[in-house]
Amino acid sequence: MSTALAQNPPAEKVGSALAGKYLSFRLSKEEYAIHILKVREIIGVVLITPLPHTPPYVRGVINLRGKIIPVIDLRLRFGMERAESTPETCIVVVDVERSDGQRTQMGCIVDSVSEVLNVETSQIEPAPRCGQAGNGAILGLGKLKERVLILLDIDKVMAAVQVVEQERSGLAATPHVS
Amino acid sequence: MVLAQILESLGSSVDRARSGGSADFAAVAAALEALRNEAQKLSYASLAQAADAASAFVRTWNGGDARKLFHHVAQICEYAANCERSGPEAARTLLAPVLPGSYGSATGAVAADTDDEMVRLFVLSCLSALADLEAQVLEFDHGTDHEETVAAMRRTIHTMKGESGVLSLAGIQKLCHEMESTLDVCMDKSLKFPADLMLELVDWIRDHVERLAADHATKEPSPAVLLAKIEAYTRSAAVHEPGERLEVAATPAGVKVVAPRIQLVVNEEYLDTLNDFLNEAKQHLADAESAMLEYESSGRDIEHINRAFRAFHTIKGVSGFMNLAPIVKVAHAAETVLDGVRSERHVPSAADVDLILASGDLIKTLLESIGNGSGPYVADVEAHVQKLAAVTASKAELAAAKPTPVAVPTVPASPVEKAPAVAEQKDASAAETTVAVVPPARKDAAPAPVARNTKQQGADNTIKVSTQRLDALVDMVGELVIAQSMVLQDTQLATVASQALSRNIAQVGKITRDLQEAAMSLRMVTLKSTFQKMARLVRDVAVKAGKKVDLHLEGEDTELDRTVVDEIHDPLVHMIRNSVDHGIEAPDKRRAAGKPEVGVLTLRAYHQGGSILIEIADDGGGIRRDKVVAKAVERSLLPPGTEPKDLKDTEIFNLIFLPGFSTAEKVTDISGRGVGMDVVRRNIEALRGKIEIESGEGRGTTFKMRLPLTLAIIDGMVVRVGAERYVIPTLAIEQSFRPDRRDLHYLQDTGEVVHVRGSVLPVYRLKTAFGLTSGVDDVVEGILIVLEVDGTRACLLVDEILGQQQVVIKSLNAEDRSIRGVSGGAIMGDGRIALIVDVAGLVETAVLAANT
Repeated sequence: MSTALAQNPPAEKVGSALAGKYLSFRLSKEEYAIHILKVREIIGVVLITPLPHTPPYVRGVINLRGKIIPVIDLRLRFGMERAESTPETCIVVVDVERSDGQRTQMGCIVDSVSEVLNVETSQIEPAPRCGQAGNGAILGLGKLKERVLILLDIDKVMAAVQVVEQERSGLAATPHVS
Repeated sequence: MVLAQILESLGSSVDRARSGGSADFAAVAAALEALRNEAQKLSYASLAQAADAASAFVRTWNGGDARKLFHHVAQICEYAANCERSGPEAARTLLAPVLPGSYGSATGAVAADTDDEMVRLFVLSCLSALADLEAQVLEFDHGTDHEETVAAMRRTIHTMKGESGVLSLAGIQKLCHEMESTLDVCMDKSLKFPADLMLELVDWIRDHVERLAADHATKEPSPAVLLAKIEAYTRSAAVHEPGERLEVAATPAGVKVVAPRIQLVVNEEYLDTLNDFLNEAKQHLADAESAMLEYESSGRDIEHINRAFRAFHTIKGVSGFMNLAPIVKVAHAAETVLDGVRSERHVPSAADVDLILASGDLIKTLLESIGNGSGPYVADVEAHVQKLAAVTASKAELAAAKPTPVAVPTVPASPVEKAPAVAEQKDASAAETTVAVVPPARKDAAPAPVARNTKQQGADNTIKVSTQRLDALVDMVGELVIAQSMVLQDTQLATVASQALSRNIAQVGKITRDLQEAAMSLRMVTLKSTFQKMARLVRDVAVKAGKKVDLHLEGEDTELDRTVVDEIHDPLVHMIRNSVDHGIEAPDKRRAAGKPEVGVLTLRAYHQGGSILIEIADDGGGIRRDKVVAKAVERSLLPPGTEPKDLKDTEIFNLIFLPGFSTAEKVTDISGRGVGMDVVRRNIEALRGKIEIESGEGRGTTFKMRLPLTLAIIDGMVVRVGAERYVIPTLAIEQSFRPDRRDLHYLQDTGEVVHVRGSVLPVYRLKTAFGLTSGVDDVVEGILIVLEVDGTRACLLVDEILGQQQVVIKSLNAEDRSIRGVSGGAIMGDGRIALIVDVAGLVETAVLAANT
């Protein structure tokens, strides 16, 4: 642990780079947040066309005003159980940078969207070096009065998605049953 | 010291040195340094640079010829004076030969301050000019009106030269120039047309321009080899002439006077500067020319006239210095006309511009004739000068008062020598009233400007738009179409009984469809340029392979989607190479077979039922069935158990598309490795096209490519499996049917099969292939679709066929290429997405799955 901590930049430095406005949302009991500049829009759940040969958390594609974008179930992405859609369930459309450097839009299914919060430098702590998202997908923790926000690096979350997709389809002789 | 003072001291030093006085180099160097400092203070960057380069030159001067330096200093002075008058950078081109680098070798990189947009435009126009040129060169062999063809070539080269001059691409400019002179030599002396040389030049320039497009700072390789070739060619021309080109000048006594031609001889003392002078003069001419062309195209900015004026002025000065009276005469007359334009703010007619351009051409001819005695006829030059004079001549007394020869002995342009310019400005006032009645430019002297004019008129009707913007438009229109159909299919709308509403909706629908069509047509381009490239290819390959081939092009104006046009280039190249190298026989063989020696290759494009057909037909030996079969047996490419006899011709011919298949006895550097046809089929299938072969032994072979008009839309069969809909490209579908249980069987090694019209096909389920949870399992409850891809046939089980429709292909934006069996998505009328099935990928996956 000590070496891991040594690799982490000092807390205040992490904080100052990360401070800003975040959109917070809920997955199961946890509260997560994405930097507001990454968020394009929030839409209700629409019918999703499933894609074959993709991991279960890739729920499929939707039509966003004439543009086809993939939709990821963040619950499944983070190893949680799949939940039935409720009226609160939303798709957060985010701008992500693909592994090839191109910007693209993707949808993330979340249980509910809470609010836009201002997270200050002093409230941010570096991410623990463990956890489901891995790959440095957690930027840090935002400690607010009574709650803890998990600040997500959505680029990393989505980048990992694509890698898995490619690996899978490379081997996809046997069709995947979702 | 202020700028004016420095200039004066510089000017006087130079004048003194020029008039034979002792050259005070220290003073010149000091003045130049002062100039540089002053220029830096005034932030005239180019001037400072030029002054710096010149002073460095002075400092390292080792006692050689100083005239070049003095000439440069004069130019620097003029530029500096210009900076004073109209601000820096206004006359940058003046400095072009003076800037650092001109003392060493030309860099070839685009001048650093040129902006990207300019380079981009240059690259575009240059590439199209090269394509034109190539076509013209190839046409030469076939055309009858050689003069017209050469004139067209000259126009094309001319434009290119001018444009590259603007970007200071010395290499291209030089080559263009040499091409022009080569053409002249060729026509003058009716030599064999140097097609290969021209094509080589075209290639060199294209190569460089393409590299330039990728990286604006690319340095061009030295065109020395090509220049040497040109030289060799022109020298072969010179053999027919009495005496050689420049060598004659070395012995002025040897020059014989032929009555009507202008003889230009340079005094021995100037011989060593002659080359510099020629290069510079050519540069100035090119500059003047581009200035005139820009003047026309730039909304008549007087600054361009100034540029042209200065160029002629400089030429005049230097020619006077070298006693080249005829050049001085022409330059002076042209300058006078230009001066009239610039001082009167008068807008000259196109004929005037032509005349100026023709003057440049004439001077060039004169320059080239220096020492070789084959200058233009004296009468021609006189006539031209008179024409120029006519522009300014209407006020007779002014024109008469201005004795043309007076200007002749003037010293090269220097700021001190401004008096004549003032005089010219006076008689320029005469120009205004008469420009309109100028006689049309002489036909032979002014081909370039004439062409330029027509080209410019054409250019007004077209604009260049980036493909990205175009695609964005097409995308948006696509969305509109979807949105419109969503409105139309809205269930609530059906309950509304308003006639006006339904009329309006119908109207919107019509407009939407029209708009979609219009948007699609924007992406359409003709096959012309692609076909023309093929003409070149045929020629090259034929020469290499020792064949005689005539290429016939049909339907070059057929339009199809830009992306398709781009993509068919490679397959076409392969097929044409094949046809020329393997298809058409060698001349002796053809003669033996009773055919004309020259083989005919026909490249044909036409529409047929919503797709484009491109045919490549040769009248060669045809594909030899037995040879193909033998090769296939040798490589065991035939499915086990098939008797070659039973195979249909098409099946045999299709074998040649297999990778590594080649019946060529020897591998040439053109073809024969058996890679080509495999590539062809892959490329065409990637375009959702098909290729067929027809061939008769001894009669020739025809390749038929069927291609979609556009890649953005496909014809698809919409099917349902469970709750999902999928689109299967109609092209891959042979038929569909509801199977009878009696026709279904289960084979141990292949699994489920069905008996369809005499063949037994494997049955795959879309449900299993895509891992769906709903959908029919019992084959007889669904519909079987017979698919054909890569020669493999299979049946696909779906729940139901919903209909056939055209869909716009959309990317899934999820690196979807990696999703096997899916080639994209289509937004259906209800706004939901249906995946488009990639039949080849699907069958492959299914075969793999069945085998495991």
